[in-house]
Amino acid sequence: MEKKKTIFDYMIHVMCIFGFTMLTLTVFCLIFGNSAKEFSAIFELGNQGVSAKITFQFLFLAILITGIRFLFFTDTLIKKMAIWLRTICMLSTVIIVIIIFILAFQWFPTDLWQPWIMFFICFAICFLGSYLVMVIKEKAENKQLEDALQRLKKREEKNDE
Amino acid sequence: MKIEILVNEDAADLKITVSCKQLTPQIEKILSVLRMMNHQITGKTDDEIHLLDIAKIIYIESVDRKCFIYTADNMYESELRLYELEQQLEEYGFIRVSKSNLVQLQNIQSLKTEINRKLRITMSNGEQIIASRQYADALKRRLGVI
Repeated sequence: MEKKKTIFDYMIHVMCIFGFTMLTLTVFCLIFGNSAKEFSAIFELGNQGVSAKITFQFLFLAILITGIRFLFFTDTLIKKMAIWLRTICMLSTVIIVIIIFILAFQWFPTDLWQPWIMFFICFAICFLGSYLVMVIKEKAENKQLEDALQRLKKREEKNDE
Repeated sequence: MKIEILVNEDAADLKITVSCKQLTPQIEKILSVLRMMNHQITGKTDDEIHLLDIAKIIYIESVDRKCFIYTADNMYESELRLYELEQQLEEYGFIRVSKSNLVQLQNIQSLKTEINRKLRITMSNGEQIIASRQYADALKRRLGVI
């Protein structure tokens, strides 16, 4: 019997997203921090790192993304929905939530088009990367199942003979 | 019900005789279990009782406490409950994949992962069955992938 997911499983997921984001932000801070601190709230401390305020904003974002993932990628609330539709719904919701965060916390100057373009490019790269990993993993799992099924069928055929 | 067992060293083959006034559901159940030992199973369709070859069964589904046996070209109702069929048919390569479905491994055409660690099973007749999480894990264990 499979172990039922607990709140701790979701906390692990939150910490994975949060940890990866903070690591990436810290690297960006070290590289671009000083040059971007004048116009971005994220880099307000320059290359010193990320402020506590921004850290909590990203923690809150990680919690929301985990919640959105729970909503669209489990059948607890939405019973029947195709995977492609779940992916589109999740993607759209995550983009909307991030845009709200950008506007609310002024992560970058929202009146300039360049930061928005950069944001969407970064988001697209991250999404396509993770989607590609998911597709490859799913294909490998399906192939493993298919091979195991064929092996079992052959074994049972031999036993019948 | 009276059970009589005659042990005769000279008997050529095992012979089981059922003597009754009329065929009742209880007797049908006993006969179904006995027939399974002969690689056969009884199924009812349009008030006719058919003897089905176990190898020809694709899957069995339980709906409202009734069990339906699916072959490539027909559907039959069984006298037995799903758990009884599961116990009897396990040795013939059948496996439970959800609360209401029992499938014959030889008749699985393909397997595909679904969200929440479920499995989409496509049977040889094109019918698709979703294996719920706990049963999907049992199926994976049987396949040797976990």
